[in-house]
Parts: sequence; C-alpha cells; structure tokens
Amino acid sequence: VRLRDGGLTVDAISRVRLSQALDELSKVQMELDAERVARVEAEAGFDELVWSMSDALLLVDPKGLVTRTNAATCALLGRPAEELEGVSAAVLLPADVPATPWALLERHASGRFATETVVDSPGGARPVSLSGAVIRNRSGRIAGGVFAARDLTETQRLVGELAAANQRWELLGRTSDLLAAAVDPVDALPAIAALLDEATGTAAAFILAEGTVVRDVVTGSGGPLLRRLEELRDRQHSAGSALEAVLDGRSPALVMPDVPPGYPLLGVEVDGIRGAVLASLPAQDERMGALLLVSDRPGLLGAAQIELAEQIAGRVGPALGIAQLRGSLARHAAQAEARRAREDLLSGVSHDMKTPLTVISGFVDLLAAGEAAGMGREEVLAMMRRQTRRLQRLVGQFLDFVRLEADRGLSLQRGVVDLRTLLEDVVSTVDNPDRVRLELPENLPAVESDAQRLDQVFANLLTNALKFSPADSPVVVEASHAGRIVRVGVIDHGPGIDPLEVDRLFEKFTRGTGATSTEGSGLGLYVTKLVVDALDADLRIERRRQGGTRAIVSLPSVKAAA
Amino acid sequence: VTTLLVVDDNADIRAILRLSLRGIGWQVEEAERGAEALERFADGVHDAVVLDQSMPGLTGLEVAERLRADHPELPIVIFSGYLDQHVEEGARVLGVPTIAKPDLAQLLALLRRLTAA
Repeated sequence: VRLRDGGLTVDAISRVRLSQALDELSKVQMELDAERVARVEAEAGFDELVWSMSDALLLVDPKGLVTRTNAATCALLGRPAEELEGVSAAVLLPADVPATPWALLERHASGRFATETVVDSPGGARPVSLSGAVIRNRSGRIAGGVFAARDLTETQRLVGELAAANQRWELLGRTSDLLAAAVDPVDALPAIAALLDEATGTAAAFILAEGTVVRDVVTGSGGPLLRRLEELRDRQHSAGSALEAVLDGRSPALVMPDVPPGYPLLGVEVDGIRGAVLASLPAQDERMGALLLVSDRPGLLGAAQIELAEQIAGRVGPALGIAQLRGSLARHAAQAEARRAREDLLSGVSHDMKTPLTVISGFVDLLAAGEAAGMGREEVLAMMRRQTRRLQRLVGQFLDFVRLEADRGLSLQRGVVDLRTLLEDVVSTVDNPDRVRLELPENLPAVESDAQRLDQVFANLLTNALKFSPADSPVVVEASHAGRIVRVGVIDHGPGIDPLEVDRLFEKFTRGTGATSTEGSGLGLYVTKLVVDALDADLRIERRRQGGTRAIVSLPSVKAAA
Repeated sequence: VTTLLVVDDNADIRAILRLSLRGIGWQVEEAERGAEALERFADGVHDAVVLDQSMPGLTGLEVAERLRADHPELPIVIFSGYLDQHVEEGARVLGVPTIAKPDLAQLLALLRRLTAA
C-alpha cells in the first residue's frame, strides 16, 4: 500500500491482504462484542444473585455511599432500591456500626466485623446479625465495602419457643417430683402453685372441689389477686360461673384473655382479675377441682398458658384422685378393723364374765343343795364377793370403753383416798391374793383421787402382773412418796415386757405377745391409761433390770395437814 | 375313791370344783398351769382331768394333746369360757368333750358319766 499525492494506491496483493486484515478485524470485533455480552450477562447474574440473597446486603463505594442493594434490604428497611442507592450507609446502619470502608478499617484492622444489633424496620425494631467487610481490587486498593444483615426475628422466636417448651417440661417434671415426694399430694400444691406463679408471672390457685362444692383453695404466694378466694370455701354452689362449668365438666378448660368487669368467673367477685385460665383437675372419672391462673393485666394469658395449665392439671388431678381413693380404702380398712376389734372385744368381755359366773352360780347351787359344808362361810362369801367384784369391774370397764368411744368422757368422783385400805381391798379381790405381797411404808399419805377408779386401775395392773408371771412367783406392791407425789409400783417376776411393745401397750385391743393363750379383751391397759390420765395421774410401765415388769402409778397426795 | 385333776389358773374355779365334787365323795387335786399338770399327772392315780382352755403357758388343748398321746383311754374334759370353733375342732379331733363355763352342773354330770363307764 502506498500513499501518493493524498491518494491511496493499493496494489492487488495489498488489496487482498487488506481485505484479509479487515476480516480479521471484524472477527476480533465480534469476539470482543461476545466477550462484552458475556461480561454484561455475568454482571447481570451477579446482580440477580445479589438481589435474591436472603441476607440483606448493602454494597458501598470507598466513600460509604450505597452502590447496590437487594430485596432483603428493601424489605428489612421498608424502602425501594432506588431510594437507597447513593445514600450514605451511615444513615441506614445503626449508629454504633462503622459505615464506611475507612471507618471499618480504623475500628477493625482485619477489615471485617460481625455483631448482633437491632435495626429500625417498618414493623418495629428487628434483631439482626450484622457483618461488614472492606472490598479491595486486585492491586490491593480499597474499592468499597459490603454489609450483610440477617433477620433474627424468626430465630429468636424459635429460641423463645424452645426455651418456653423447656421451661414447661421442667415445670411438669418438678410438679411430678413434688407430687411424688408428698405423703398427701395436697401438701405439694402450695409449692406447685408457687412454681406456676414464678414461671408464668400470674397468680395460681388450686380450687379443690367435690362436685361443684369448693372444699379448699390452695395458693402459692397468692398475692392480693387471690386473697378473696378464701370466700369460695364451702360454697355450696357457684351457679352460672365459669368455675362451675369447669367443675361440672361442661368445659375441661377455658381461657379468658380479657376478663370484662363483672364477668361471672368464679362466683365471687375478685377485684383486679383481668385475665384468667381455668383448667379442671381430672381424675379417673370425676374432677377433683380446677387450676386457676389469673393475671391483673389483659392479654397476657393465651394458648400457651392454657396448654401449660392443662398439662399441670393433668398431673395434679390423677394424683389427687389416687390419694382420695387410697384414703377411702384406708378408711374402709380401718372401719373393718374397728368393727372386728369391737366384735373381739365383745366376745372377750363376755368370755371374761364366764369365770366369775361359774364360781357364783356354782356356790349358789352348792348352797341350795346344802353342800357347801367343809368350807367356812366366810371363805365362801369371800370367793363370791371376789367374783362379783370381778364381774362389776368387767362391766364397768366395758361401759367406760363405750363412753370413751362415744367421746363422753369418764365420770369421776374425787375425794381423799387412803391407799393402804384401797390396795388391801384390791388385793383381796384378785384371783390369787396369796401371791401378792404388799410392801407399804407406815407413813403413806392419802391421795386426792377417785377411789372406785383407783380400784379399777390397781385391779387391772395386779391381774396383768399375776397373769404374765410364773404361777409360783410373787407379785409385789410397793409404795413411796416424795414431795406431793405418791408412787405405787406393781412388780412381777415374769419374762418382762418387750421394750418394743412398751409403746403399743396402751393402744386399744393390744395384747402382749405372751398373751395368746391368756384370757383378756386387750382393753384393760387402754382403759386403765385413760382413767389414769383423767385422774391427773401418771402410769409408766418398764422392764426391770433384774427381770420382770414394773408398773408405776404416780398420784398427787393431799396437801400436808397443818 | 375317784380322783380328779383340775387344771385352772383361777383359784376360785378350782375351789368350787373341789367343793362340788367332794359332795359326791370325789377327791380333787389341783394345778394352776398346764406344765404343772403334766408334771403332777400320775397314771393310775388320776381317774379324770378337767382342763381350762385359756391359761398362761400351755393351753388346755395342748395339755390334752400331750396327755392323750400316752393315755388314750383317760377321760379328759375341757371346761372353759373360751370355746371357739378352733378349740371345739381341736377337742373333737382329740376326742375330748368340751363344756362351756359357767355350766358347772353339766360338767359334773359328764364327769360322773365318764368315770362310771
């Protein structure tokens, strides 16, 4: 190709080459175009990627002005992308966050940070996890920055729900533990109510009822809201109230998030209740009452609280039901036991009467046939008198028992009693007077008591001592006095009372283990102890170290005469 | 002379039996407890034994069972206020008649019958 006189001369060869070169050029052009198209497309892909990311993104230039944003950011901030681009990130980010690349580098040498914070959003403040990083180009110069925020509202809701579920489980677990640890589940209710108070921020009460009659109200800390619930006790009927509907089973549970003033919630007006949950306490096939949660603010109680109340009630109700069942079984067993004991007693007393009757009727027959000869009249009379006394004592003891069972108390006739005369008389009326040795001091003071009752007490102790000791061993009656107390001891040389049995001695119908073959209703010591108590005296029974048993009666002596 | 061993922990019961039987010419020996009765009983001396059931130590039935083992023909009577089903059944097995207190007249009649046989 030659350039001449401003003209262009192109030889043929050159023309071909030129044409080839132009072809080449256009190819290169096309490739460049393709590359540009591809790059544009890639950039669009990047845009799309950025736009659709779930985290809210802000890309900024080195000055901190927003160059690019995405849908999540627009949603979080409640503004369209056009409004955000070109705005300073410092305006959009929380004040404590470095909003330009330089500020970020100044605060964080690594050029990146992550924090949890709160951003203003159209729906209110939202918790976010926010991170930021400086962007550099290939040569290492600062090209801008990126901020990414992840909305934690949902996460926090889940965490909250998990925590609430966990708390509920823990509450249920502790409720079960408390119920299991209590002898009577009712004893566990105050603690369970207190747990509910604390966990729900409400005031909880267990309303225990038979049918729709409220028997008791158990609160935890209770507080002023529940103070008036006491009035529910022994209410025959709370007709028309929400409580009644729950107690009679029409409604297993109900929640009133906003209790209108005057609403018949409980049947008594409790000032200040603005929200309530009622859940029945279910047992086998009845309801033991209801669990009540109340709040002094409306809107606090809802689905979560009714669910919790029903779950707690679901544990408390059956426990109460089982305890009630167990109680009534025990009562039935005790009644049956008492009935059996009473029958045993009747048969014991009637058997005990047969010996004196045999003696008395035998002598009557002998006297009638004129055959009592060979025995002194005095001796025969003494025997008949002795057995008559025995009959009288048996009848008296039985009547005392009947009176005591009917809570009518013992009749007493107090007076001055000479112990020596009394004891000598008692000894003469026991079955084997010869085995008894009276060892009384000369100066034994008189006592203030009831002679007939003391006769009963000592006759019983002597009869026991004779019964539970060898036939040839003596029974000693000794006495001493100190101050205003006179002590009379009845000592036998039997096997001695089993220390384990001492505590049971005075129980109704108790008979010593050695007594299986010996007559006795098991009533003697029981009535004796009650008589001694009524006389303001004291009875102690102990095993003697030397063997045998000692019964000691302590009595008040008469005031020393001047 | 017919000799009777009376075993009863109640002295007055023993006395009334002693007096009642003396009227018909019997001799009565007494024991207060079952163990004492087993010691005192002598074959050929005692013609019959009257036992209380409810006594400290051995019961009347227990004494009867031991006496019966060595003396199958000995007349034994249980004379007691404590005759329940258990005692009646035990006595029946041993072939020992029972008389309930206070029926002394019936006891005396039975003793006469048993020793006459």
